[in-house]
Amino acid sequence: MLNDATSDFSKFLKFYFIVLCLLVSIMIPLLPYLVNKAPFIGDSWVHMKIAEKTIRNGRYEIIEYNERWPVVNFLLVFLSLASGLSPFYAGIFVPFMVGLTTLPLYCLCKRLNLSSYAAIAAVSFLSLDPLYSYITFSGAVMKETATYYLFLSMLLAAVIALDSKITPSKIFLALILGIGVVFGHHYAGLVICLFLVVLSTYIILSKLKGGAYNLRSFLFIPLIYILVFLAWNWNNYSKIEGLHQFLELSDGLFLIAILVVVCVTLYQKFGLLYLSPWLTIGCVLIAVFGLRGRLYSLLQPVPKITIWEAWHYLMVGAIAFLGSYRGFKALSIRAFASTTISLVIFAFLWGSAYPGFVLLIKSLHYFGLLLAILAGYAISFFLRYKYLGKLLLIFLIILLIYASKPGTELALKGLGAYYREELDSLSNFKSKMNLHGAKVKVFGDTRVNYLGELLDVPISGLTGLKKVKEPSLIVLLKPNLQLGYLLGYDWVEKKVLTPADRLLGQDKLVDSPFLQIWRINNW
Amino acid sequence: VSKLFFLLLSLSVRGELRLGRVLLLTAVFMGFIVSLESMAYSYSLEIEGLRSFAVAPKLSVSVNPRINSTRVRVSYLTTSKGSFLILAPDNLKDYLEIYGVKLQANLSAGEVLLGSSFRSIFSSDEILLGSETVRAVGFLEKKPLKWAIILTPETFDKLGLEGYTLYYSKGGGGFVEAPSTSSLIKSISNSILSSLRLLSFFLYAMLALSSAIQGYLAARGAESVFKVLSILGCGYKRTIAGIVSLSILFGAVGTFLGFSLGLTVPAMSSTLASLFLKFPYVKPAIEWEIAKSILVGLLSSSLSLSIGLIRGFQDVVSG
Repeated sequence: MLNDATSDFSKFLKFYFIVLCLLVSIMIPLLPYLVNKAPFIGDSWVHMKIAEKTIRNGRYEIIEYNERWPVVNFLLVFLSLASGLSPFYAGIFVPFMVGLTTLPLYCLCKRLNLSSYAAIAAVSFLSLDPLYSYITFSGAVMKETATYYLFLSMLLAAVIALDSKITPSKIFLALILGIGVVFGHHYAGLVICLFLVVLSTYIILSKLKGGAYNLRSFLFIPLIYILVFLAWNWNNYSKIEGLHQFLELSDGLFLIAILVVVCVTLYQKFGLLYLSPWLTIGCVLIAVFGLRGRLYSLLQPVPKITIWEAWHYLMVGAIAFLGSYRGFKALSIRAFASTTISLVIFAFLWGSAYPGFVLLIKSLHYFGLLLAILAGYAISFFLRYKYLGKLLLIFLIILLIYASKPGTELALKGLGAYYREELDSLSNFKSKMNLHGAKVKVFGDTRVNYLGELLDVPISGLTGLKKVKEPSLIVLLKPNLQLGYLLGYDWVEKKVLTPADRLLGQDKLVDSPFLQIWRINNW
Repeated sequence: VSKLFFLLLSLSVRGELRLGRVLLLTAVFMGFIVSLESMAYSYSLEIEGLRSFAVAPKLSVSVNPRINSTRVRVSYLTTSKGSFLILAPDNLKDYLEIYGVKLQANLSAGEVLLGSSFRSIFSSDEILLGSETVRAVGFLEKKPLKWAIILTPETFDKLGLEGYTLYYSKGGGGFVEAPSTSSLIKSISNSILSSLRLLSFFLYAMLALSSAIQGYLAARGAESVFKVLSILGCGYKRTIAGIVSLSILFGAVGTFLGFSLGLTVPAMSSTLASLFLKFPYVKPAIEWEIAKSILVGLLSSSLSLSIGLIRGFQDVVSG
């Protein structure tokens, strides 16, 4: 009787623990909307503008870079039309959808024979990644975030297709998801493409060794997917001006070369010469030094690594090491690891210029997912010991919350964050400026530039400010006043571009905590 | 044949037909070749950058006519007073302008311009060149012309000189340039690339030889496999066709692996060297010439593996 009651209570606790963790994970991407009442990063304004334009014109044009992968734009338009809300409010659904990604991740972990607690460890790790602030990715309204749910669902579909009897309906579902990813984001599409290629190669080799896989039915999915992926992206690549300078054919070959080496290394369960856990740790080091250690020739407003943070990174390293030993036994995990590890190494070997940094950031969105799954495997090792495992899980979640705090703060208060008040103040000023009737040049950094795009205010970059002679305005938003400027991916200190003497004696037209507008060269 | 090919492939993957070493050898040799070439191309691209710092060429000489070039007949003459460089430009004004010398009047037949170094050698205006006497009408102070005697083409013919016809022009782009820093950098880079190509040929030969030997040994080691195949009724020709297909596949996979290693390993080494030893990072360059190397590697490994396997198979069959 007592045992039954204990068991029921235990089940009750487990259920609520899992539900609570999932709910928190779903809420985390919504933090920028909840705290700042605005989405993260400037790309969001661009997509909201496209959605507004589409609703106003009643047709969708595929011309610009941000229109060529249309899933996020279609989503905003559909939600706006269906709910009657403006694209700004409809945009809340995108981070919410990223939060819902925890559900396919949970299912994926369960599919990989991990326990519910191990799956919760994976979900928590993804949402509270100490290596890379998850909010900077999930809190945005952009192509990649809108595709993330489809991405993880596609991953889950591929794993299911691998392990069970493939039916036409399963193939159809996988292809629909795959096409969604292709039209959603180029990089997410590339990750799935490489994953399917590596997985197919591993399956073919296993089949030749006598493995029981339904090869012909499975190969149908990658073949169709790769064709759609190549056709759509090649079409876009050939039509976007200037992209050839950024990405050449030789870069594609270089990526394939790295993928082949990693794929061969991870082909065996523990990798060639037991290298697989070390490869994962190598990627963790690349991520740490790439983001915090000035590996790239970019200025970032990040503080130096403290001893305590070093401990957080050591924890990630330990999880990666242990998780790799346990997780790489599964063929699909090895295939996904080959893909994400190759992409991190590719970013590392690109060089220290800013494209390398952009590639690193992109690759970490998916390497973070691998680490999350590996965290599930690492915790499953301890879950064999009943109470110790559960205690460790709770300890891990608390540690993750603590470790991800600096990254979360940076995301919510950093140069990439926006505030609703900034939008409102600038919008109000714009209407007043029109009343004024004067045509003036408006200067602002990259953040202001993005917001200006939404409000139809053309913004000139701050680098041209020193030479300007004609009457102009300088727009400074809250993070500009506190942290400095964002010029592309570079952080520039405030005193470098707008030193006090430049603004001395000039009119301050707006002075609020969220917006300052200066009038220079009197007009 | 396709069924036999898949059977042989399956046997190779399971280790019954030991072709793993062939794969490794091909990958290692091709890796060496690709890394040598890609890094050499990368360095040569960096060297191209150095050319922009070099002193720009002011004069270039070529064997074939070029736009805005001046035809000059060049010879030499040995007399009791030494050997002289004889130059006979078609257009004397244009030729001297290349050196920044302005000429007021033209030379007539039998008249010459002397380099300033000849002042001490010839005491009078009348100079005996071979059997003919010519008259010196001026001296050239410019350094490159100090040891030259310039005359008209008619005088050149009259002297019965034999020589070369060259085309002189301002700026770079000819066969020879002066100052030669830029072309020197280019020629050093080209000579390094050609020596590497020579080394590559040696590696191709090694690859072919080792593939053939390993193929032969693998076939000899798979005696039981071939015997079972013959019992199952696989004909001689069909088995040969299967072996050739398998060799092409293994050659292709080995070459592709080598290509991947050849790009990744040097890039990784260069990055680590740049991080820890502060060397400049050199990213391997993927040029079209590498495609040729891959094709040659694929052909040499596939062919030699086929030969080795077939020879081994024949030995097994003949007992």
